[in-house]
Amino acid sequence: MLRISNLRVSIGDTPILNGISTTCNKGQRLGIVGESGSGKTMTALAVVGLLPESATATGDVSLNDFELLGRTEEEMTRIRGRKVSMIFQDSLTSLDPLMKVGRQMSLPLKLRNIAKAEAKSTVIELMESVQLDRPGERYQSYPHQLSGGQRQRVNLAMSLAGEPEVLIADEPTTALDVTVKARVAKLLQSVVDRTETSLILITHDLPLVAFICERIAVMYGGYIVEEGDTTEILRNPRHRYTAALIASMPVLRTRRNKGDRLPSIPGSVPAAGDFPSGCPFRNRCAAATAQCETMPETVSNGSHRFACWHPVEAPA
Amino acid sequence: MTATPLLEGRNIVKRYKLPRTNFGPRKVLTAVDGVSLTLGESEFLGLVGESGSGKSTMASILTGQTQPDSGDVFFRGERVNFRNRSGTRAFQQHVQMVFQDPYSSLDPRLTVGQSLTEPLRSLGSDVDHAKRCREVIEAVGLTTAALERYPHAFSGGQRQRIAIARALAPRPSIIVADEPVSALDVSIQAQVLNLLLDLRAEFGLSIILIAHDLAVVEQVSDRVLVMQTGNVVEQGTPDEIFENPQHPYTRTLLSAVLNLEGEFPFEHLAPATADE
Repeated sequence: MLRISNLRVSIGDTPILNGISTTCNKGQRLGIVGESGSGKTMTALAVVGLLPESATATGDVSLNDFELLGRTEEEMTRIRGRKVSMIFQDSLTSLDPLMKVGRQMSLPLKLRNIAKAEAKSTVIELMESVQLDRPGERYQSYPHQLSGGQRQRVNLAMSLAGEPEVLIADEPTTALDVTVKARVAKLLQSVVDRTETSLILITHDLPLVAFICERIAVMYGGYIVEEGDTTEILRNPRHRYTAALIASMPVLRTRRNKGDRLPSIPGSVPAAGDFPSGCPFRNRCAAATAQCETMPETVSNGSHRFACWHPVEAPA
Repeated sequence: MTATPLLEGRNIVKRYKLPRTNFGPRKVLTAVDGVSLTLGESEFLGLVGESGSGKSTMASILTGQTQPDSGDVFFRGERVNFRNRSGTRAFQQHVQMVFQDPYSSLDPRLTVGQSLTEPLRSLGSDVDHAKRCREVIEAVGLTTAALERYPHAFSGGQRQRIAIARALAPRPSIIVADEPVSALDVSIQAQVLNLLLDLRAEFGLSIILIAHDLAVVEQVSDRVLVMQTGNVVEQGTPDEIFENPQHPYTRTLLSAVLNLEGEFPFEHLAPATADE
């Protein structure tokens, strides 16, 4: 089980994460959602030990009681790929443009001490596991010869090659076309399900989380403002930010009257360090009062927790 | 016969020669393969399709930046002469473009005010530049103080407002927006789309919105065109396209849209056949 407790990260004097706590059980799929600048990518980077050098982190990040935070780069090199692995948004820059896909995919196999002679057949198996068509041919291709969807399949296969316990996927489908995205999403879901890998999906795409993840953590201003069961959060959000985020998302076949304005959140996400004190969302929130100048306490209701002074009414 | 459309494209074809390879003859890519479309006064037209469908090439042709290999563009019933520089200039004053990435579409070394006057200068407009700048920056919901500042001082959503203000500067009748919100956060997307809706209401602008996000297109468009590999495969009102799609490709696109219920896409409609 991956446990993050009271994780604080700052760059210089600027706080980026203000005490993040969450867990992800074996085989569980957790979605971390929020807008740019909410701290979701920093959370991921802290887990895989890729925080920028100027960052300082405190708190705990542990995997089955094995501490991940504060490891040296040397130690993390051995941990990454085997215990925790990460897949990024940009499928092209994640791959070496000068190395054929097959050879590139065989590199993480060293983590599993697979002999060179067996490497090719294992790579072909990996390619098949991510439903890459014509694996024999793809083995000899360079990354630029593959489409975005195919490259993301290669990245997925590589990140799973070391059989990690936790896979972090940071906006893995954002750059893909709709139909390709749907298929990659389905693949991601079925692959982590089959291998019982814990998945942390980082995205601003709520429907993607609804499709893949059992649990959602909503981040804003370096805090997890609401967390719980996916269906529960999306149907009955309690935090004002979560509710506003869901409302501003265009949904297919929602009838509007011509000339109606789309629901939006006023203002924009402040730069790191410029969030208001107290509730970080209060300067954009329609329900904010003087009370919001102090940080709301976290209210827990079973597995559902949120920190809001004026939560949306729970349904009867 | 109805009134002459504001903008019309007839049988537009555009091919690109692909880079030479060592083997075989040079290949040609047909980006747009005989597309006809019309845009009415104050109409909000949505153009959807995946990468390679030819929608951005269409945008480039409809804004007078790319000459089609064959076919014609008509503005208020008059044929645009792509061979004649002054002809395309005159046309470009009426059609302006907004791009996807507000971080790269504004010159970081120009103040916002300088950026806004660029289209005026390049079109040789003799209006009072300072006055026009103040008008358009206020039209997009920013203050005149913004004119003295540089793009880096603004957030993504604000930069896209600036890019829209720049498009408004020559007082066009049409704005072609190519994926204007896909680089923005969800909460900001709606603000920018609302701005486009407001500008249409206020100035009677016609808007062509190119987007891959079907829900976005559905919510703002009066009419929707679906493009696939250089062809318009289906067009109609949002009701027709989204409630009762006729073409298999439209159905595939719609069936791939994930929703908040977390349902499996492709469930009730034909699976995709196209290769990735």
